Parts: sequence; structure tokens; C-alpha cells
Amino acid sequence: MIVAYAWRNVWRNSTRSLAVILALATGLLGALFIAALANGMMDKWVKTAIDNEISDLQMHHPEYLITQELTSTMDQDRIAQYLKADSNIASYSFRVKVDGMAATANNSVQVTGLGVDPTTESEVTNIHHLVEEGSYFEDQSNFKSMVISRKMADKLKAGLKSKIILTLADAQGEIAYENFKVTGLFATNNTMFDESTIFVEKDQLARILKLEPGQVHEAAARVVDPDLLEVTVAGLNSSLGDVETESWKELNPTLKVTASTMDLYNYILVGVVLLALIFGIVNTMLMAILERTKEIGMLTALGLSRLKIAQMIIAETVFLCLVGSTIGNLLSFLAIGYFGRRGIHFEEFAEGFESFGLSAEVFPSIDTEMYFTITIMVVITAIFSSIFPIVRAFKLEPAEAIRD
Amino acid sequence: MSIIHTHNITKTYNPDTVPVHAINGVTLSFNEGGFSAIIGPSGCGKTTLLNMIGGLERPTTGTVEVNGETINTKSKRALTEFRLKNIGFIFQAYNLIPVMSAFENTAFIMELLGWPRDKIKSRVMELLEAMDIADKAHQRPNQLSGGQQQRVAVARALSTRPKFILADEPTANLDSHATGNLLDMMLKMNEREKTTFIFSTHDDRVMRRARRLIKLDDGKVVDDARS
Ligand SMILES: Nc1ncnc2c1ncn2[C@@H]1O[C@H](COP(=O)(O)OP(=O)(O)OP(=O)(O)O)[C@@H](O)[C@H]1O
Ligand SMILES: [Mg+2]
Repeated sequence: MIVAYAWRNVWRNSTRSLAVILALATGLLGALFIAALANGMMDKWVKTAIDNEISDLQMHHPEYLITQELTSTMDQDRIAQYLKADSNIASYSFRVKVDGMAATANNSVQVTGLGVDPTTESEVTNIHHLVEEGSYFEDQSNFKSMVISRKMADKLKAGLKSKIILTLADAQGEIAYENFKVTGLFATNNTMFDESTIFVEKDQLARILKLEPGQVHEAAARVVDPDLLEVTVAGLNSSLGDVETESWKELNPTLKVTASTMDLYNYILVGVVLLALIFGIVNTMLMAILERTKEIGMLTALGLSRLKIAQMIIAETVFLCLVGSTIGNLLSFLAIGYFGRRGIHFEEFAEGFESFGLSAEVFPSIDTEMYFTITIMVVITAIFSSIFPIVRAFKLEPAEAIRD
Repeated sequence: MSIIHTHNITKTYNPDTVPVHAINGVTLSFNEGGFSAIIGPSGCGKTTLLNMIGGLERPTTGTVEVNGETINTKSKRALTEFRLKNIGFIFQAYNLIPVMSAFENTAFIMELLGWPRDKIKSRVMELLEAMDIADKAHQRPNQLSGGQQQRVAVARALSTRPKFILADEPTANLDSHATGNLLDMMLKMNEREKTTFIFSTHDDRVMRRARRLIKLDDGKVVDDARS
């Protein structure tokens, strides 16, 4: 009965209640949509980084991670055996990696040269899909092929079929160089990656570096089930003691930390919105109590206990806020669902986004869990907001309230 | 048998600033089943006396006993519970909860006391029928006339068969027809349920129906006549 009474009280001054309800609904819609956008950007960022550069996991000689010494290599056949045996490994590829200088007649640029096996590499990263001009090592001429980004081509003032000289220090520390011909131009949406990475064929690079046959610097692999990634990494680390296997989270800690603090930031955002709304809620409830001085005094005279009065005010505040948050959640669900399917294009800001490795097209998304957590946060906010009105109601003396 | 006894009670408002001596030594007893009116000019202390008997205000000095229990020393919380379980109240106005129907208003105290649903329902209907407003059970107070609203208040006050009912000028806002009508209802229930009624009034027609008239002046009992 107290509950029914409280519910009806919410609608006694419906204009005033609606103001609070709308404030809550729009506040939550705004906060949730921003949270979903942030999530969408984050997901995209992580996914792009995994797809284009890192892949799910990588393996290195432990020394290589620290010194990047060219001689810190691994035996590719031995590692392949283990990867083949692991049922959660979908695909893998081996790489030879070196820092060097790419030069044309016009310009020279510091680069990271990745020697890849085009066939297996295509199963691990999707650079081959991002080739816009030429091809991804399909050119069967006598030249040694090099695939570079459009941005790199601009820096080198080179184009398709341009000649590029790659100069580097080989495994014995001797200066070596080789001529390549640009056979493919790609573009990811990560400027930093594009401006530093070039691709050549693994066996050719290994030969220039004078590596022992079958020796590689890096293995990259994709998993079947991302949820089991950590298990797979742990398994490989225990069976291959002399090789360090790391997931993308370890390989790019910034990515991991940012992705996991995102939720926290989102909750803080919602918390701030609720905090700002507390004043409105308290004010509305105080007005509601003041308006009902006689009624509450009369009920106290009849014998309504303080506990029941507190219950009534809490129920009324919680109802008021829940109506608002339910509308807010519903609108957010619809808006996030709609834009989550359709995507939002940030054409105007695209350039800025891409220099951070972010995509200009964002698909907002949110964990369903967040709606529930927010509902609980709203209930707590409502209970907190009822304290002041309850104190006010307790101060009413029934004898004074009913005398007029 | 006496169920209420006030022993030399006084009430002084604002004792520290501008003292108002609203009640100046009142000793009274009320018997079970009575139908008593407290009368006197405006400001003579009728409301103050009723409030002290009902545990809404504490006397400055003296004691109020109900069923042999001293109530003026009880804590606020204990008094609230005492009122809920022992006393029915009817006020001059603002008796009813505007967002609840006549039925729900009548059921309010029984609900607070946790009566079973079917028992509440039959008691409410019994009372609303006795008050001749059963057909208005599902109307809200603003859809009822002043007299009908007061009859709902009487029904609620009677609902849990309290020891006595205190009514402070229950007919003050009613026209003569509604006043007569409400008095009929109160007398009927006084006889049928043996409920003790104590009410205040300035209205001659109401006084004439009372079986005991306690006249106050300046916070003192100046006449106490039984018929
Ligand atoms: N809270 C208060 N503070 C100060 N004085 C008060 C207070 N309540 C009542 N009084 C005074 O006490 C006296 C008795 O008041 P009370 O309300 O009991 O009179 P009453 O007989 O009920 O009058 P009425 O017929 O107008 O209702 C009056 O002089 C009144 O002004
Ligand atoms: Mg009065």
C-alpha cells in the first residue's frame, strides 16, 4: 500500500516529475551514447591493431625483445610443429625483421623492414586487403618486390615500379644493401605504422641479412577462439621454454590498459551525470514533501511511523528516478543499436583520428551489463537523494501540521 | 468505567518567550461508550485539550492516562504506535489522502496494522455501507462532497475498533444537512459498536446531540453537564 501510495505520488505533480524524468533520461542517453562511441572507437582501434599489425599473439627469442639483436633468432620448423599441434591456433606466419634505411634518388627514410611469407602472412594480417595499387607480392618478375604504404611512397617521392634501395646492417654487423622495386601500395588507417613499415619477401631479406636458413625473428598467429587466447599463450610458453609467447595485450600494453580503463571512464561519466542530477531530484522531492505538509502531518497523527514515512519517500524517489532511467536506457539501447549497425562516419575529423590508428567509421557499442549497473547506480542515487527530504519530513510535528 | 483520565493538566506555549497558557489545570474522566462534546469560544483550548488526550501534544504539567497507562511520558515513537493502535482521529479538514479512493483511505490503518486482505475488504464495505457511501468506494476525495469526505474519515477512524475516537470540529466545514447526517452516523456507530466519541464543536445543533457537554473557557472547565 505504501508502494502504491508512493507510485501515485510521483504523478501528483506530473509536470514537475516529468522535468526530472526527462533530465534523467536525456542525461543518461547522452552519457551512454558517448560511452558507446568511446567503446566503438576502442574496439575498432584494438581490432585494427590486431588485424593489421600485431595479430593475436607473437613469439620471439627472449633476447630479441630486449636488444632486437639480429642474431636472436628462432628455428621456424620447430615452432611450426608446436603451432600446428595447438587446436586454438588458426594460422601463423614467420617474419624476419630489421631496421634500415629505404632510399630513392630523391629521399631516404628510416624504416622497419618486415620480411614476410606472402601466403602465410595473408592468413595472419590483412595488409594484402589494403593494397590499393599493384599487388601483394604477386608480381613474378626478376625484381625483388617491395610493398610500401602510400604515405611512405609520398615521403620517398616514389610510386609503383620505382626503385628503392634498402640499406641495413646484416647479422655479422656488415653494411649491406639491395635494390627493390615497388610492386604494391597499401594504406592502413594508422599513420605511424604506414610511415615506418615496408614489406619484402622473407627469404630474400633473410639472405641479405645472412641469417642461417630457417631462422626467423618473429612468429605471428591468429587464434580460433579469442576467449581462449590467454590459455593458448600460457600453453605455448610452458611447452616452448626458450621462446617468449605474448598476446596482443602484452605486446601493446597501451592498447590493453586503455581498453580496460574505458569501462571505468564510462562509469565515471555516468556517475558525474547522476551527481549533477541529484540536485534536481532532491529539490523536486523537497517540494513534494513541503506541498504535503498537512497530509504527512495528518498521517503521522493517525500513527504512520517514521520508518513508513521514510519508506514512502524512498519509494517515491526511486520510482521517479527509475522511470527516468528506464526511458534513458531504452532510448540509449535503440540509438546505440541503430548506430551500432549503421556506423557513424567522422569524415570531418578523419585525418586526426587516423594518426592515432583510429578508424573514421565508428560502430558504437555497449555491454548490456552497463544498463543493469546503471539502473543500480540510479537506485543508489535515488536513495541518497531521499535522505534530505526524509529529514525534512521527520521535522514535521503532527499537531502543528494539522492546525491551520 | 473510565478509560481516559486527565489529571490537572496544563499547557503553556512558548514558555520562554511570550507564554500562552492554553490549558490551565483540567481534570476530566471519560467513560467507555460516551458521546461527549467539548465546547467553548474560539481559542478556549478545545484543540489543545483533544491533542493532549490523543497523544499529539504533551501537557506542560499533569498526566494523561488511557486505560490506566500514563501516555504523556511515552517516547515519540511509542506515542505514534499508541495512536495507531488505540485512537481514531477525525479532523476538521485534510483528513483523506487525495490520491487514494474512499475504499483505500478507509483501509489505510488496517493496512498499516497488517490485517489480512479479505478481512480489510469486508470491514471497509461494512463501514462504507453504514456510512451510506458504499457506492462511492472507488471515488477519490475530490470527487466526493465535504460531508461524504467526512463520512469516509469516520469510517477510517472506526475501522480498527479503537478504544475511542477524537474528532476536532468534524462538522465545521459542513452545511446543516451534512452536519445532521454525519452526527446521525456517529451516533449510530456509537450505539452499534459501543465506540467512545469525544469531539469539539461550536455548533449548537451538534451540542444538542451530545450526551455530555464539557464547556471550556480560558483553558479551564467551567461546566460539565450530562444528560
Ligand atoms: N502552537 C502554538 N503556539 C502558541 N500558541 C498556541 C499554539 N497553539 C494554540 N495556541 C494558543 O492556545 C490557545 C488555545 O488554542 P486552541 O487551538 O486549543 O483553541 P480552540 O479552542 O481549539 O480554538 P478554535 O475554536 O478557534 O479552534 C489559543 O490562544 C491559541 O492561540
Ligand atoms: Mg480548535
